[in-house]
Amino acid sequence: MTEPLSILALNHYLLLSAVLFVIGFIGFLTRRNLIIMFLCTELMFQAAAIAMIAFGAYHGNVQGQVFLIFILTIAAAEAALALALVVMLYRRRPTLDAEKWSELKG
Amino acid sequence: MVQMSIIYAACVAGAIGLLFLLPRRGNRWWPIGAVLGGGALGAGLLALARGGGGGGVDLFFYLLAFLAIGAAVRMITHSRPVYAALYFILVVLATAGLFVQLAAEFMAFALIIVYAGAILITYLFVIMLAQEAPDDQHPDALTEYDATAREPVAATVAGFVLLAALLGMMYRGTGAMPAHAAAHRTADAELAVLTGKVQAALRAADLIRPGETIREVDAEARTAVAAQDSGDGLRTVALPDDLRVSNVDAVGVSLLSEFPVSLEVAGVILMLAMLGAVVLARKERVGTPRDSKSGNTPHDSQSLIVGAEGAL
Repeated sequence: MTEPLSILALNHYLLLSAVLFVIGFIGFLTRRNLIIMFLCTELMFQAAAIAMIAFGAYHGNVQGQVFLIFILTIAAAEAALALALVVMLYRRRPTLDAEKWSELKG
Repeated sequence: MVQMSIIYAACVAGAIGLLFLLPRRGNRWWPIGAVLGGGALGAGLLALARGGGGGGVDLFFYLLAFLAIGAAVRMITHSRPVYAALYFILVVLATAGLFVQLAAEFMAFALIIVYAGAILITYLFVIMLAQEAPDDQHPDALTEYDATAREPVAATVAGFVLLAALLGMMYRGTGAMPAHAAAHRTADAELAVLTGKVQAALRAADLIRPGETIREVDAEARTAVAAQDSGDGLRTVALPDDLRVSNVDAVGVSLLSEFPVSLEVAGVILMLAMLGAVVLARKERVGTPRDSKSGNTPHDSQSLIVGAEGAL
């Protein structure tokens, strides 16, 4: 293990993480393409991953990295399921517009 | 100390810039958005740098952060899905660079392999599978839902208010966090359980004889107890200085010793997701005869297509 992170450096990484999360959040709200919306959730996963690794480096242990392994697992599972759903929806009606599927809301 | 006024001003400028950048038909204002957004990002990073870096942050952090944020913005503002996915790969690469900066090289490569290599390729496949043009005359034309954003003002304001709140909290409320030294473990503590690695390293350095195995490792004192295979002849060997616990070793030990159940659960989740994806994306085969001679034409694509249309 190398030098632990100082709190100033930790704040740098947390700021980057917050900015990336918010960009993904805005993208999720504004884009209408279903696939791009899922891609924006992946961006939010990335932001969480940066925060995990930075906190792990700050506390000088590897548990942040271990949790990132689980984040990657969940992200892969989520991507597989979400894309299968998109393919199924697209086969039913050939559009990816989230607005066109608004009758799916509960 | 970072000047909060600069951070908040950068948030406002970034919000306005992002509004100009979001996709809409005939967007002529994007240069204004690019200048405003880039200026906001640069000002924010400059405020950070002036507020004091040090402790593991150098020029590469600012370069990679700029790259990551710029690619992320371009990803949500590009109206063509394939380019959005490619820009996300750029975000992943920049993030992996940051992980290397944080001495997490295993996760950096795992991120590139899993994200850029597997997940994003799946996205690209689906994007190309589900691509549609508005009409046959203009195969390159953008569809309506790709070309226009949905409620850009409300979403941008909400997002940047969240960002300003997060940053305000971060720079004013983290004083009470525990010092990292308290939670620090002793360096290379994992060597105590990595006897196989120690034995291989000692054998490679000719510090133990061929018939000897390592019985116990004292990570604190950096010594190991070696014994003959017959069980006698115990002796203590000092570990060489260059025998360190690598990042992969540390992650592996922590993963398997502290979170073994979670690891199993993650495997189950992955398998269920695979099954679910197969079930969801499967085409119904309706009306295909199941006679005994169907083994001759196992992949009758015609009946598959007919079956799919029947399912619709």
